[in-house]
Amino acid sequence: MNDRPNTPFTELEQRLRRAAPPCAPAPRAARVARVCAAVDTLPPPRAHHSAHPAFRLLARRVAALALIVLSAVLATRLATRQPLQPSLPLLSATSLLDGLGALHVPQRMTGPLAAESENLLTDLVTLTTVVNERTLAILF
Amino acid sequence: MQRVAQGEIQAFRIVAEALEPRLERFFAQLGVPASDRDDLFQETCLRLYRAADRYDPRRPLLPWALTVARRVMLNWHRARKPTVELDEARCVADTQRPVPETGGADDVWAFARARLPAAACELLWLRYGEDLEPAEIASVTRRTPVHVRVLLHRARAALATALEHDGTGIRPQGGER
Repeated sequence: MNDRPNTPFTELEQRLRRAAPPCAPAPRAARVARVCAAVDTLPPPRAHHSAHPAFRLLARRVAALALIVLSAVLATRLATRQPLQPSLPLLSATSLLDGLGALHVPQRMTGPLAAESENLLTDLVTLTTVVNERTLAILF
Repeated sequence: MQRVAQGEIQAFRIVAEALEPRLERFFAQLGVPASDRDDLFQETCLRLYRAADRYDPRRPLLPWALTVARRVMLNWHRARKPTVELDEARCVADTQRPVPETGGADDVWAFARARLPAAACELLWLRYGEDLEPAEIASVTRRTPVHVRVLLHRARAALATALEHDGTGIRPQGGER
């Protein structure tokens, strides 16, 4: 960010860097000694948590591999166990649906439909006649 | 720190000696009075020691140490009891005010501390005083790198404006902006 030469704050950044007070050339021995004395009274840090990064990576890979293998084993077992489950009795669809045929009563609708059609036709003719008469009555 | 984590307690002296000047300057720049810096340094070192097993050697030590030091300093700020200033003690307080050491009359850091909020000064110091990258500052201050860049830009702009409008003391070197 500060390395860009054309930023409007380049001079300010350089000035801030120049004005930063330097560190003390040497640490305060008394302060460090006090810290070290305090550290000596503490138990050592838990070294067993500080596993090497390469070991952590290896452990993660082993764990992932174990998870994959266990998942595969579980899936295989489920697949092989499925036929052992108590299966439902085989039912024939045709034998069940055959009974429905007995419930169906064929009805002949030709006659009623033909009569209805004639009625509609008669009504339409009557309506047309009436409309024509009214229309002519308005005109003449 | 790896040796410390493996139980070599004496190796922590090297860490403490390396960190002492940096943390002393860090605390001084962020307004911690000299009388309290000793305690803050000790507390920071003890926390670093206890957390030595969690240190990742692939990462630099200083941002990690500054993260711990910053938390210790924030706890110190919170633990300070609020006080009401008495009229008769005001003149005494002015002389004993915990003003960090300045580098002279043309100290832009003192000017920044006087004009900018503490958070802006802290970011500017981490960037230009400690020379940390924005990503490292983000890990120290628990912000995102983009947020840090935005805050740094605002802090720089505010400081530049304050320097331009300052009629008494410091002016930006190098001309107009």
